[in-house]
Amino acid sequence: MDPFARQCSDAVRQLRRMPSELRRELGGHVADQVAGPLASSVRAHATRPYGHRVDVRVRKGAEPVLAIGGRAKRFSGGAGGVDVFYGAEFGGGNRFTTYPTHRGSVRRRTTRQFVPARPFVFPTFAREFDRISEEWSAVLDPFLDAWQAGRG
Amino acid sequence: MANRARDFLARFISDTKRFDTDDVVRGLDDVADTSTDAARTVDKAFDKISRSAADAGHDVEAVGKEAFGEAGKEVGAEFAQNVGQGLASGNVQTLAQDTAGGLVSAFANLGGPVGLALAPVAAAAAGIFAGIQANAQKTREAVASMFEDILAEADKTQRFRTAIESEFGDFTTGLEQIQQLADETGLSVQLIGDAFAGNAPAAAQLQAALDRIESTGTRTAKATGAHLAAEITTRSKAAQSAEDLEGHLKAIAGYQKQAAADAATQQVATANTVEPAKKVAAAYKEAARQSARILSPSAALKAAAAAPGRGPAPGGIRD
Repeated sequence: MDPFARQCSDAVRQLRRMPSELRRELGGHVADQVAGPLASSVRAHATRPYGHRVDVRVRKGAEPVLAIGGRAKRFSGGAGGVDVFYGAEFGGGNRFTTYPTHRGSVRRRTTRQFVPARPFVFPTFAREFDRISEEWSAVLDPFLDAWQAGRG
Repeated sequence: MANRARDFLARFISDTKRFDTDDVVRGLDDVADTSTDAARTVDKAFDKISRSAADAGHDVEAVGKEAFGEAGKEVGAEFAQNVGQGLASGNVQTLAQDTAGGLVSAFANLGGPVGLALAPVAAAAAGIFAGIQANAQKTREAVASMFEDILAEADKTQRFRTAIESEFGDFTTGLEQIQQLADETGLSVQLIGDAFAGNAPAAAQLQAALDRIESTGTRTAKATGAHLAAEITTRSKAAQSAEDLEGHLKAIAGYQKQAAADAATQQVATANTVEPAKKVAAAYKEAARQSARILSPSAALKAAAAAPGRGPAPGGIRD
């Protein structure tokens, strides 16, 4: 694993070790000040013709978390936002899904369900990495400082 | 109906490894290379997270220990109460069959350190007692025997401690004295301890050894060796001190000699320096006197200075 990725995983593990009240309070700040702008940016970079139908919502968490997809049927074949997201972001591969037909249902590959597939979530993460990191740190630093000062 | 996938949760930090896949996005290495400031910022935040989590962990650990301690106190009190009643009946075997709590009570009655030291034994015994009702008579007897051994050992320990404290005033000092006594007599510390705890044969053996030393003045080889070593050390120190003193005296004499030589040298140097200096000073004085005479203003110049109208015109000669 990449050293930085390992460091990230370790940080997330440490975040989970924090008291739940502290994590919850921090999650509120992070959702408002960091994840919200990130979600807006992801929405802005959603690619057409289907990407803009994908829901991008903010989840509370000590790190910025987005819930992407949407389970409601959005398209004539019965696909929803999450299907579009997987198809666009990861290309489907050999993933099989059951689709309803007038005679019942049929299972088929989702590989080329939506062409062209152009990922927009993780590219946005990578593009916005500097800004979001700094915003997240700007929320995290004073919060943890205040907490530790309160304990002292 | 088709099974629909749940919403995908994209976590900004946890999912950074996804950035590394070339077919999805450019690698995180590129990101890190082009954004050292951001990497530093994130690194700092990570450190802070680790510290905070560690602090929180200490809190949890402290709370856990405290709670465990409280629980232990409660259980101990219950044991003491239960088995205290069992002991009052006087039947150890019945006690072993009934409950394990009496162990703690018995140890508590023995007082402080002894009871505390034997607490783990009591805990182990309690574990055995837990299933006593389902065990055979043989097991009951074994447990009862163990219980009596524990009590006997505890009693002996307590008697030993009391005897030591009454004899020497302090338990630690007493142990040191016993160790010294063991060296002197050649007896084991265990035997001397038994003697102090009231063991008659051990006490007789100790007394015999002391009498022997008193009458013959003989010590064990170990004690003799120890005394010899102490003697050697003392003499060595004395010799060293004498040697040091001699060295000091020699050094002082050397210093005095050197000081006298230095004084003589200094005197000669002073004489050699002062006489030429006096000559130079006289010459300088004479030269100054001559210079003063030469440089003193003449009578004509003094007159000119007194009557400035006769002096030369300022700015040079004019026609």
